[in-house]
Amino acid sequence: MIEKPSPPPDSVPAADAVPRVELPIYQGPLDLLLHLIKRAELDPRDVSASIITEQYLAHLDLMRELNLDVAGEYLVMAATLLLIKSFALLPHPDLKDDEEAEELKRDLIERLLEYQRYREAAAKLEARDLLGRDVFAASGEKPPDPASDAAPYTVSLFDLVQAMAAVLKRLGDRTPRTIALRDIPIADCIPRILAALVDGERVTFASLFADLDDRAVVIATFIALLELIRRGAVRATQEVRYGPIFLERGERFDAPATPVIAAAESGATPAQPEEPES
Amino acid sequence: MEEDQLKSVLESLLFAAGEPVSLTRLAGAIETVPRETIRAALAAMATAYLSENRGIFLEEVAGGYQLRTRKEYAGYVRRLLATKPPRLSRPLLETLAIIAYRPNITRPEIEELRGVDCGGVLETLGERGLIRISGRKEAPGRPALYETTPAFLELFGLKSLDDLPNLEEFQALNGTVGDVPAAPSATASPDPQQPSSDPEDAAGAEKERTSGTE
Repeated sequence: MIEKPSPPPDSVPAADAVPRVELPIYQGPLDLLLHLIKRAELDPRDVSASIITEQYLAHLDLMRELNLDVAGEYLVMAATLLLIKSFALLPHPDLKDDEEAEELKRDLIERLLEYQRYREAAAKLEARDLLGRDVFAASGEKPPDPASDAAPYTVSLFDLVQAMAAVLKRLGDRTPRTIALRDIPIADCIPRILAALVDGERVTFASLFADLDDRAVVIATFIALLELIRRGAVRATQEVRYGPIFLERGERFDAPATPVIAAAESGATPAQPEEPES
Repeated sequence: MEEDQLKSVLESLLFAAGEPVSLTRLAGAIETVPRETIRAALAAMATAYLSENRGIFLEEVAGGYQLRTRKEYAGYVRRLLATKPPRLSRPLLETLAIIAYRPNITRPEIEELRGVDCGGVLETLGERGLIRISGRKEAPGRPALYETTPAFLELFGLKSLDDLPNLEEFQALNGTVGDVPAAPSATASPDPQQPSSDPEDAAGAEKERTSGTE
């Protein structure tokens, strides 16, 4: 085990001079009341027992002393408890007040019981075999749909040139110092590319150049690739922007190849016009 | 189609899907086999997975069928996938339970039940796809109504909301929460035993309860 000097858990946020701590134990006044009732070995129906009210108020004081945010709900509950208590203590000649107090008490008990039921239901849920914790399912990932243009990005010429630059950079050190003028027909590179594209599968742009060391061959292959993409024989896609470029058979993969255009050849790479099919 | 072949086909479908697949979708993919035959084959498969001590089992969940890894091997799977179990805090669980038992409930009603503000919790549950807004209440302000999603059923391995243990049984009248053996059939028994007895044995009883979700 490697011991990492990790900062202590953020139980006390350092932002304030006065420590403000969230009390995670009680989820509101009902939760606190149920806790106090259970601790006193009482029933929710005994919520009006004076010991519960006292402990509840003491807890609120404690929260305030600890600089905890005493949410409004806690105070409303405190008021309710005190009201019920005051009715029980003070003489009350008015019968109507008596009924009101009883109703207040009944409502509170009903709320506590109902909350207790859901709290129990939550515990039962938590005890089940959870997906991702106790049991797992297959990921069910769908393979990328080659027919849809929506998912993968179509690669622009700029992306291809950038990918090419990376290939050339890799070659940088390996290029021999002597410069020989050679003819590398682009048409000769085409079958190599086509052969690399198995039907229904994708290869990465980089893998196409992985075993090529000769800068001139690399450039010729790249121009051949551009030509094939232009013809629609090869499709270039990306799953994510700036991600790896994938090559696969295009819609017109099997279309009869037209002669390689002379204009493309008379450019950068030395090449001779030749029959495209060899 | 032979029964053995049908089972193999079903196994491949469930494996590839990952998510729970309803009988209707399975029948749609197979085309030539009637639903009842498929249902029977699934029941036989569920039994076989258990009796053969396989690493996976077939569970009826969220209105469909799903292949799941056995609970006993959760530790290995977690290590392989390097995943952390889903974190479910008490506020999240309580709020989920309330919405599951009382679908189409408004935020003020949930807050009344829990006694605290639930805005943040509802947002988190929504982000995690466990609840959704089912509509608007015809009341002042037209508050949103919340319900749980199929992802909730999937997470907790429930066939449908009817599969939840009966809330009344939690009532625990004397206040001794937890002592009452509430709905042992639905919660206490380990899940692997559920599918085996599902479609076939309990066809009559279960049908009524789950038919709505298929």
